[in-house]
Amino acid sequence: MRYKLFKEIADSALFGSFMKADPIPRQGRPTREDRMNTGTTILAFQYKDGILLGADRKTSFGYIRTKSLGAIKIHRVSPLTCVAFAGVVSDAQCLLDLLIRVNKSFYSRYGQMLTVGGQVNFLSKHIRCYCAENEQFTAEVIIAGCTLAGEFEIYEIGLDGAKYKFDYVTLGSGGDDAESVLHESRKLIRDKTLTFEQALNLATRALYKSGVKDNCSGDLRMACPSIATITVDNGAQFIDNEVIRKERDAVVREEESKDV
Amino acid sequence: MSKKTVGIRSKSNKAKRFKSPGMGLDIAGTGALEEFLKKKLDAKMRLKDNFVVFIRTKTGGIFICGGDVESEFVAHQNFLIALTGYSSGEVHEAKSVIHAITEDWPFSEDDLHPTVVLSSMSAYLKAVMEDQGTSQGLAVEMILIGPSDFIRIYTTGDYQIDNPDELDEDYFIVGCYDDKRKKKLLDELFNLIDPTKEMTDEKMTEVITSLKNKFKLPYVGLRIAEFSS
Repeated sequence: MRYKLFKEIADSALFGSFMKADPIPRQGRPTREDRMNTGTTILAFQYKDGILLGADRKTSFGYIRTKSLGAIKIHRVSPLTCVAFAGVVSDAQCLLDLLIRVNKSFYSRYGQMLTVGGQVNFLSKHIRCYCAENEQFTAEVIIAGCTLAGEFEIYEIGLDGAKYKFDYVTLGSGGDDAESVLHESRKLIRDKTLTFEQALNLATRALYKSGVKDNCSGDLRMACPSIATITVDNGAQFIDNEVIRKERDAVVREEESKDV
Repeated sequence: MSKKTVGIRSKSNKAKRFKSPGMGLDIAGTGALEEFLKKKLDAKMRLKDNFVVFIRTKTGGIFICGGDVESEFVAHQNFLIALTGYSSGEVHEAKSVIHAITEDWPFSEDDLHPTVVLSSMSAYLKAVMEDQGTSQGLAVEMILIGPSDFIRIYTTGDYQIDNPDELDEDYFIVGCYDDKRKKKLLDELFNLIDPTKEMTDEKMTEVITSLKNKFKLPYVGLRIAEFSS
């Protein structure tokens, strides 16, 4: 009897209900080929004041059609944490919803905010559990945030739940193109010497390149990217569209002048 | 102090055990409420002798545990727990609840706050106490201290949270439901330990020996908790 009580209480304290994967039978879940595929470019890197995250705004419908040019792929899940998704929209929405609920639930239960590392561990385990029981999530995740000690952390969670910690990371179908731009500035990123203006320029250039090269990432000339920062002073916040638009126009002009 | 007045198994104490249920309710009735009150009182009576005392110091505090059974300390980077119980089985059961939480914790170590242990432990003690399938509650009480939380958990599942920086007193106790003994114990500790002075090895030995001899305690444990908030 006590063992039963113990199990019930332990499960509730460990967010057991969240950890259990939805009982979707394997044959009932569409295969990856059947599903709408979404190409994306998301990126995050460290700069002088904190972390900058960027993403394109395009949602593809299959390989040919464009569903939307206004999608927001970066989300603020807690005052000090942002998350960005690349992959199938439904999976990304499901994971985002889960993360928001867990953050709220943790705060209301224990009176403390969940750390970035804690969120990464939780999401990684959840994806891993799901992957083992059913088909894997077709969504890659960047979680970036600031710890209460004022340290900045960027994590990538892969399709199978594997987690990695980086100074900069790019994901999605256009991730390789964006990474080639960030790679050129890797020393500045590691040393955290980039100012906000330089970081904004770097992110815009990276997203421009991926938009031009990758069919499934949004072209900057058609849709302005979304960019967010995480700093000690202001926490996680989105950059004003006007600021991004100005930078986008400058980068586009600069890149197009190279073709002439 | 004679064994007759202190011993929890003495006949004179047993007779008094269920006389005062509290809450102004008549214990003569039957049913779940009576069982619940009996279990609650029984758990407290079983904890007559065993105690955990916390003495606040400038850098943290001193835990002193004593009783018929060996008390347990559970240490983590975010908190320190001192727990005592009526029997070693009950102490072990409480400790296993704490370990189950810490071992399977799905978040990070930094997220394992004292309030997490409080939440689970309080729920467990309450569930055991209110469960009609078990004849006895879990006679275990504990003190948790973290950088920003000072928590006392009682055998009924009730708890008390304080901010360590805003405490009015320096001496805190759980267990030891014999009022006379509790007063004597606190007086003795007040004389033995000065919270403003450093606790040396000699002083620790002196405190332990004194408590063992004066209160006839087979087990006395002492641990110093320091926090760099």
